[in-house]
Amino acid sequence: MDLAYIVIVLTISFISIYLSIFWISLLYLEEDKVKAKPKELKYFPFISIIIPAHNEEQGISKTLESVLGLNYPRDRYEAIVVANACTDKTVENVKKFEDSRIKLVEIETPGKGHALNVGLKHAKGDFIGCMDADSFVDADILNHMIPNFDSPKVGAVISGIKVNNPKSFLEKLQWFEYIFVTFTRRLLASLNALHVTPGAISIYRKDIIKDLGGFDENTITEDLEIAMRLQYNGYDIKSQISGFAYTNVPDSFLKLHRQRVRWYRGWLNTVVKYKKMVFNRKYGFLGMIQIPVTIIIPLLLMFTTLFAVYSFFRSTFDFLNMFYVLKSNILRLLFEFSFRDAILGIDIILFPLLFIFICGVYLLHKSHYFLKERWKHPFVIMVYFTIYQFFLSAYWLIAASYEMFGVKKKW
Amino acid sequence: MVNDKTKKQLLFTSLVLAVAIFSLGIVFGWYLDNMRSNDILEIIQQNELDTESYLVEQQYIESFDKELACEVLENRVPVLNDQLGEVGHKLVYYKGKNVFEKDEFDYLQRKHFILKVRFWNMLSYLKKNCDYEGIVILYFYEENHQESTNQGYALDDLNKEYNYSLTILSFDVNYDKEPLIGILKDRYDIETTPTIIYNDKIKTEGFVSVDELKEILKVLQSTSSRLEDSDQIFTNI
Repeated sequence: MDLAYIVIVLTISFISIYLSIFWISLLYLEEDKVKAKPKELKYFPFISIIIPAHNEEQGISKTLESVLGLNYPRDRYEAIVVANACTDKTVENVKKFEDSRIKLVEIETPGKGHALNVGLKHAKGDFIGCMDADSFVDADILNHMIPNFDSPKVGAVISGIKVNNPKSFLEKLQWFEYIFVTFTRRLLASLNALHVTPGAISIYRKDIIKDLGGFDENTITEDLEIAMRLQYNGYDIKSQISGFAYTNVPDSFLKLHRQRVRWYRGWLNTVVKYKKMVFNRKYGFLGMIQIPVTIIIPLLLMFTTLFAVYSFFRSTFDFLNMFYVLKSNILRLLFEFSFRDAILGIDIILFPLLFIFICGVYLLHKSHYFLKERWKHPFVIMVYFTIYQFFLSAYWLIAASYEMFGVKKKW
Repeated sequence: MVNDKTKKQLLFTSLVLAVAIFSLGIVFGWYLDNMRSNDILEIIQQNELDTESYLVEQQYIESFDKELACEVLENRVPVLNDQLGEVGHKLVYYKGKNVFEKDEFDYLQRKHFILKVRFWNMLSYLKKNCDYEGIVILYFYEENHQESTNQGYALDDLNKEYNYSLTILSFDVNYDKEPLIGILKDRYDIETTPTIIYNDKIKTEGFVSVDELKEILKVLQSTSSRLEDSDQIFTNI
């Protein structure tokens, strides 16, 4: 082995082991807090839920039904649907709901950031909830989220997100991904290192958002931008995972490609915009570790998944090739297996991989436990940890190259 | 939220644990490397000892009974052959896995190369002086070369079929740590890989399947296997 290769492998191994231990130690430390039930609300602040909708005729009705069914005093919240540049039946579908809690605002200008700002202007509440028009929520979600605003420094609270009724293999993969991501976001929140307030549902203090100038209308990922702006200005973002929003996810690789490339491009733009936070001790774990990790991890994942996939295909090819050369005689090899040789043949790179895998499985187990989900789809889990990571890394690289070559951004 | 002091403690504790686990991994890796090297070294040392014993035996017995010498020496061949074959397999199997004992591994590879050449010399002596009828195959290959890899599988399988009675000595044509390889390549005019020399009589270039190998061996066994002079002309197939 080349020295350079050994140094790279050992460095990556060490960083991966360190991060794995860190997450498990953090979980150990925070387990009781993660498990804790939210405090009961004694006072119900008025909340304005802004729902930007651009051609959402299919999902908007279910979204509004879930909002109207919230277990929160009906005179203490409103839903503002901002129909932006709709050409389908979104507006008609909203108008079917004859409920004083629903306000409809129609605008011609497209753009989610703009729609959110229009909603912000119309919002009466002290808190604003931003919710995607293709998502719906648990009835108790506001009662779970609002108690987290226990300090004026808390600028936003995010909730857990689950995939709505996953049917296809790709949707099941994302179902699994959302479980894991929701859980890791809860842990990140313990370190005040959240860099996103997801669109499915997030709640903000209205005066803080207004003070910060509202939502950025020039970004393709306003949920990443606003989260980083809150962090940049010293506000905290909290997470609760006792209530959930349910969202629809891309059901084809092409749609997934578009979504992820948009997310990653948006994230790269946001990091550039807030580059002062990177490796800045003032921003604690977020600046020193989390932001750099979000940039480096995809590259590491690319490296390790490429290595794993290459090793797998290489072994398969070798075996098939041997089969081709030896034909039926290959059966003889099966009787030559030696346990001692197998042990001595272990590659050292397997140790960190095994360690990280065990830590990953443990965190997965915990994420299922906290999100009250059962382990299912074992094949999906296997694909998630191998090929899917490779796809995500590839999307990340595509996004980075689009940014590098100035490819026009699309929503 | 975790306060700053706890965060620092968490980062530090994780670092200490990571260093401990990483060090354990390194120690275990080093231990495995050592085990691999020792595994090969043990056989090589045994092979050296057996070879030396063989040479002493040869000198001693030759002085009073040449026929007895041949019989005794021929009995030695399977043991030495097995040892060198095992070392060869282990070197291929462990290659790339030794991280911390690379120099040791290189040394073992060179030692194995030299022992193979010495064994080949011994076999040449046996063929010349004792009508030794065993089949000796010299196999010239290249690393990371698919045809060579396939040929390796085929030769291994052939040897199994012959109950490990064949002597297959493989040489990496690009092995630059031992000048002897140049001499061998010149002697057998090696221009491509895989190339196989059967009993110094037949030479094949390119991949030869197991069935074809069997056919060649049948031809060899049906003719005299006496080693001709060093300037012998090969039959190319």
